[in-house]
Amino acid sequence: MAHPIGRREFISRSAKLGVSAVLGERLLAGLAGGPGAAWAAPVADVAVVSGGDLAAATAKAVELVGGMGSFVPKKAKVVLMPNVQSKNPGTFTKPEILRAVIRMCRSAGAAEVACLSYLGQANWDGTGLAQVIKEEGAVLKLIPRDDANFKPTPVPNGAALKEAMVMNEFRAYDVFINMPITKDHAGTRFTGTLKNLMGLNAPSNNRGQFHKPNWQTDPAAIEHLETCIVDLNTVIAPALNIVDATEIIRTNGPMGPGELIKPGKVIAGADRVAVDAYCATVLGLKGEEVIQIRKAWERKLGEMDLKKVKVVETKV
Amino acid sequence: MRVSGRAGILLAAGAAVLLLVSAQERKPSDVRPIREPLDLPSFLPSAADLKAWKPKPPPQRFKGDDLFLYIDGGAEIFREYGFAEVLVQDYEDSRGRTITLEIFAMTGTESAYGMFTFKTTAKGRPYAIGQEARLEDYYLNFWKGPCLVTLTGFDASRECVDGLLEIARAVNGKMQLKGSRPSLVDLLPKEWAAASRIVYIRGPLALSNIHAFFPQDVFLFKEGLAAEQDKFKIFILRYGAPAEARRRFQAVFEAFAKSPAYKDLKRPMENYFEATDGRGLRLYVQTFDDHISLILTPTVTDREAVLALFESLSGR
Repeated sequence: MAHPIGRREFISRSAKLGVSAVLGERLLAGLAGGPGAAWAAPVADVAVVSGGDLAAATAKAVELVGGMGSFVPKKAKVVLMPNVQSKNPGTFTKPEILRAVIRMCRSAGAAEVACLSYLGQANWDGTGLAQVIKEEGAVLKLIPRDDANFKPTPVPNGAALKEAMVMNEFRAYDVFINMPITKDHAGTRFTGTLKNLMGLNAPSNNRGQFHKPNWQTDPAAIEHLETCIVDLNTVIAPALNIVDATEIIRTNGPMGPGELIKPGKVIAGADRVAVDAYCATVLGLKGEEVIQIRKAWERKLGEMDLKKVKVVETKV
Repeated sequence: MRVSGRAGILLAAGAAVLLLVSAQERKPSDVRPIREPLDLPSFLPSAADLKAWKPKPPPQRFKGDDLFLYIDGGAEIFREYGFAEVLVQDYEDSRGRTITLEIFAMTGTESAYGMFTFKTTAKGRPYAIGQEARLEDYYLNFWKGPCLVTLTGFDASRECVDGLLEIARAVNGKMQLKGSRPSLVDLLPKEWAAASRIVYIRGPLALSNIHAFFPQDVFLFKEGLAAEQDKFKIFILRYGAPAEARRRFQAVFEAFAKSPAYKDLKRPMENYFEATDGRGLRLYVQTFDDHISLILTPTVTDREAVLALFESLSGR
């Protein structure tokens, strides 16, 4: 049963999730449905759907967490961020999943659906994602890596990162849907929704602030990186996370090539910490073993104890 | 639980004998920096060298810190092993399918060997290409001298594999390089030659990627080796001298004693202790000569087998 969510309720929900208003109201509006959005009662906090038809699996996963109408108000401008880091198998979000999400956004009444990226056209071509964007009439905006295209953004509650550099163009959108692939990462052992946000932050900031100088590889440097990831997540809040866990690498991440495993799952949820905690299990880890997940939970960005959230697993 | 009398005597005797072994016989491997940059483009096969594949220009080249631009998020591990530069060249067949060739020039043969072991598993099929090669599904790695070569195809089809092998052999034919495996590898008992994975380690990032003992860098080793076989995982961490290993062993013991992540700590001998981690894995730690060895097993009932393995290590 759907009911419209009022502005006050929306702000209250946002506040409960501990989201900073630094990026402004329009992006906050993407957190849990903006004014006027249809709000279907979600069946699950984390939906896990398996099946060979990735479009159907994606649609079912979104349906279980409330339906796309819960996250995308009519006439909203929606920005999607699939992972497009490498064309190696198991390292990028599947085009079929992106296509399904674009179509769902359109059905929900989105005025515009776009992907933003500071990675090059070759990344998007090599993964097949550019073709899907073109075929579905969505927009691909490639943002040059220069700092001029990123706005200094204070991180008021940053433990390690005091200022992010968020893509200027990002602010032109109402709703942000995060669409990573979960996979191994040589440094942090895991990557999912939280880390994917580095794709919106300036490369110079990622390099100069997240990674310690001279590519230090001691555990303290890795912890610093993971703390920065969490800090960034305090100022950017996806409305919805849809994760590709269909065919992923469990070694040599994040670029691969690496050992492929095929969990065959599409995972969705508004609580990115819970979603990542579930994704960690797909890679044989516990959520609390992944520093960024544990720190995000400590900062109240979401729940990492999967016993405390409703995880619904089904097949299509 | 106590170490059995026979095993204890053997352990002590083994340790005493090993302390007398000349440091010259166990000289740790040194990184031998490349004196002059390698001419990486000269290793690229041309269309004339290949039957079904031709290079798709232009190749890309990344040196030093620019690796971050190429392997965003995955560069640190290369840095830890010792990275100099990488040359990337795509090859295309008549159907537009692509195989990507990456030639990594590392800072020494140990670095190339180490990165090779980090990126491969014993699941891969060995081939007589370079000094050691493994084909895994859709990708192939080989090392030769200070170079690591990675070829990534599009799937695991016969055509793809044939292409990987053809290009790899062509590269190998152009490389007049040679190097030695680190001497640390010889410490591993012969029966472990068929371990499911053997990884030569150059720093804490690789170690924590294989097994995260602590969130801090407690071991501070010079070089290391990790191997996995059946239910056992073994880590051999080498130090500059026996006295350094003994000092570090005490520090490691204290770190285990202080950590809430470990319980049931027992130290029946000066150079040996045991503990259980949060997952219930039993950990056995011993120091011999210039190294510290750690063995992980699922249960404490594996103690006799562990002690036999320690004896085997001490006899080498």
